[in-house]
Amino acid sequence: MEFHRGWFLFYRELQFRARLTFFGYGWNIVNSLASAIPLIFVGKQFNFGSPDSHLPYEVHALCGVLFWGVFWDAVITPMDVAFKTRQLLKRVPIGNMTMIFATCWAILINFVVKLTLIAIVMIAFGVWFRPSFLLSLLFLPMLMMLGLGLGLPFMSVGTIYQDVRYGVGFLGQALMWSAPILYQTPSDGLLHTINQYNPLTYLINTPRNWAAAVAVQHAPEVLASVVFALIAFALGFVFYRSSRKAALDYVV
Amino acid sequence: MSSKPTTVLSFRNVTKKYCSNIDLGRRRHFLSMLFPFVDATRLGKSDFLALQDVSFSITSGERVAVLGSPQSGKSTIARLAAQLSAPSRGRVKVFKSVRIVQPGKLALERPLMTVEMYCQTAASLLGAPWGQVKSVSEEILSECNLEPLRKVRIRDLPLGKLNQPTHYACLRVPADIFIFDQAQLRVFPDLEQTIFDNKTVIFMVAGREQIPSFCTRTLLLRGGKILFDGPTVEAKSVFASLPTEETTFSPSGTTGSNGNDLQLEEERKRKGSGILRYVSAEILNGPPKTGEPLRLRFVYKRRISGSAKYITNATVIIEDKLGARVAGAPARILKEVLGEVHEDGTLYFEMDRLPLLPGQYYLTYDIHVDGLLSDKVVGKFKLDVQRGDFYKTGELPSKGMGPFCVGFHWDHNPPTTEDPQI
Repeated sequence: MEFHRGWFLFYRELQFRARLTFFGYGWNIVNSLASAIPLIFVGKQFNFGSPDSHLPYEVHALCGVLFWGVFWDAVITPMDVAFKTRQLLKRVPIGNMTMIFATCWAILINFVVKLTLIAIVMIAFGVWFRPSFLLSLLFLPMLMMLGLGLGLPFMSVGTIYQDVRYGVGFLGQALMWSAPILYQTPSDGLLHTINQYNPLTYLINTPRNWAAAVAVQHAPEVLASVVFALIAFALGFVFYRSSRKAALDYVV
Repeated sequence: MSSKPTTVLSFRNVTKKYCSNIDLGRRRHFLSMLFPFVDATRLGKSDFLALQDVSFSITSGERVAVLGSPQSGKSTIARLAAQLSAPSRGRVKVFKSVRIVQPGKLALERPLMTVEMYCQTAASLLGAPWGQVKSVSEEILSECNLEPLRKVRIRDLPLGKLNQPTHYACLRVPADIFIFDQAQLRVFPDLEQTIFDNKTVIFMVAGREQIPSFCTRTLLLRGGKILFDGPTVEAKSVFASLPTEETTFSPSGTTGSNGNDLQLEEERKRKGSGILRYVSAEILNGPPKTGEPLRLRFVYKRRISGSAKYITNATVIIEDKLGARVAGAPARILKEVLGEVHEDGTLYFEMDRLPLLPGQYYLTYDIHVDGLLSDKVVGKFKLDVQRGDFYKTGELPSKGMGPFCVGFHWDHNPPTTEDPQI
């Protein structure tokens, strides 16, 4: 039941947003990748890719953006959902899971839109679909959980103060460049170390490699990243659960 | 064969603290989120206890009234039971699904949403099972006579048109415990009766005459504490024997001599800058009657000194029992400068003919100083309109008449009916 309540909560906002605009749902498609295109253009120009890569740079970067998008949507969408439903939350008891499912619906719709565009780009660059790419879908829940580990506490705090909502953009930039989304991990230096200890590196690289039918690399690190994502989600959920109801007293 | 009653709701030593200054409250709550070891019940500046060490439990099928004067903690109990808030101390256990029925909308609408989508969303978010969302939504549309409006966008609906479907959805979507918090009864009598017969029901009432006859148990609340928990008959007599409560929330703390005084809500909970606050409101010419003159008096006091100069407008809106606006002061009044700000003053609201059907209505009124909202009292003023002689025709007006012309007079002296300024 929580699942379909989450759908209605999400659909209400999607429909409203679409009706406020001339191009309607078209913005979902444009927004999904428009911001990535200049970055990819610059990355290509400065040779961010690696000659060892199994994928053309454009596909490599777009796949990175696709999986990064899942993580980042999980960080910011809960705040967005809570902000837009704050008056409703004061009057209707809506379960914790409903809010999480509303977030998941938003992430999944974005993911499907991006995936469709990436499929077109892949075909254009002669990268054909490989069955191993389906395995990469297994990493979606992990990326979502890692994102929700941050997003759920942000949602509770953001119910009271909007600082997090405005400040989260800086965090996004820092996190995005801390993982090899638009570039290949360098062989040494500070960025190498940061990439090495960042769970996002493994949660994004592994499914991306599967798109090119490359076997899992750094298996222990991938496993550790999965465990990290689970722990982050559990901690975030506990914080969110304990603080959400009390936060509603001060919603303005 | 009836099943053994089980506990469906229990409060154990529940204390709830609020901060009347919302900015301070938010700041404190934010800090308590970051430092959860801080004592949540410690009273700071502007804090007050809405509930103090409240314990009770309710079993399945019980029909309970919670009786208490305004600001005694009834709505806080309702919100805690519905899981819309968390206790500062103690434990609230809810074993079944809870529905809180309150007047007004659910705040789930979006201006460009269609009525049909609104009904579906309301049904879904209130908890209708997945397969029943459409059928419940169709039922709401047909029972509230909204079939022809199903594709109309909410933005294009008359004000208050959503209150009825919202109320119906609250009653229709299944739940195990229904809490009626200031909700009107007998709007959908059949549906209500089904709930009263089969579900656990809790009524929040402010007067003993409002307790439904089938409530066998009553909790008597006063100042956030339970004074009595037992049979309704005894609770009523205990309530009657209580001295008049010195309400700490009433701005004036006074009651009128003619019985037509209106209860205002706590000043600090009201909207507006608070430069001027209404301290009392009163019907001057006895019970209001259909088609006959109505004269109201609103007294304000200055609460914040400063450079505020003019009362730029004051409005009065009449709402029906579901919170729908049925009439209000005409827009041209809003453009009048009503006078200079004094330490205290009186506004007289005068209407030559009251074009309302007999029934219960509520007033919302506000006052603006130098163009900014200073005070707003929402729905606290009950207007019991009785049958009168409408334009001396013996007829009743049709419901939902448009804006009407009122005489509006601002003075320190009472107005005369012959001399309305506007």
